[in-house]
Amino acid sequence: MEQPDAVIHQPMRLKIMAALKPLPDKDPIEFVRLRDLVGATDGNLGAHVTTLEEAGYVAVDKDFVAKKPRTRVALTKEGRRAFEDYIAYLRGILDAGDRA
Amino acid sequence: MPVSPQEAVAALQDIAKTERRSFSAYGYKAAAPHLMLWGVIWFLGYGGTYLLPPDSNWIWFGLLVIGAASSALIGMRMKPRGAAKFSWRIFFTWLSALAAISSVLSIFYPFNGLQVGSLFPLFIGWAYVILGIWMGGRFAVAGLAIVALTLFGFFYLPPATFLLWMALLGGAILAGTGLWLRSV
Repeated sequence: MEQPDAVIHQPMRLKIMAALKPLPDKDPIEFVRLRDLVGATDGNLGAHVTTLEEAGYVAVDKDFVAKKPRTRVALTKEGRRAFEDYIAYLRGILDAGDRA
Repeated sequence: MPVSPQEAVAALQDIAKTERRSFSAYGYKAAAPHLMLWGVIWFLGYGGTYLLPPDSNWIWFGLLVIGAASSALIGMRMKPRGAAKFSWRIFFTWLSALAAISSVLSIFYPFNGLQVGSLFPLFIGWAYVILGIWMGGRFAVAGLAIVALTLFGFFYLPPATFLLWMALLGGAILAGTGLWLRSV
């Protein structure tokens, strides 16, 4: 990867991906918990989650629990791979710096 | 958009920090309902043993099997839609813990009821401390509270009071920790 993935490179989206990564495959996290973990507002988080969803990196599931709406977000396989590639890209920069 | 080595270090540190927080939060969320369930099991087990000492083996055997099966069902409910299956891994984790403690007891035979009633919570308490070292401090706090409560009961309370002590306070600590973890 010569250029960083522009979708993940944005700091808030990077945090969202980092927060989703420790969850087991396809296990979702509730929107409100994710918001607390990354320290975003509802609107800000919603916009970034939409961008990640459009890129195919996260899956969003909306349902109702006890008549209350619930939104859950999970990392997709593509998202996990893209995040791992992004980490490798960052490490590559450090390795190149060490070699220089 | 070139990334400097300094920016790469900062990004990797941010990622590691967020991953750690998320890992702990996920562990807390996953553990909370199990702790509440086992708080009730403890209450019923120690309370039942206090009220019906001759039937204590059967009471505990029944409760532990119910607890292991209920934990597995909770694990199933926490899976995403479409992926929910009875969690045999959780079921066998609890059965293995029971077998581990029972096998330790078998080599120390003969023992009295007070020792048996203390060994289980001591094992579980230290298991939570170890879990806390890896997954999040709240587990360690709960584990140390269980260990302290058990040792205090074992060494300082009259044997007749020990079971009641463990039923009320042990059950309350587990269930209360479950509520505490759920609030994260």
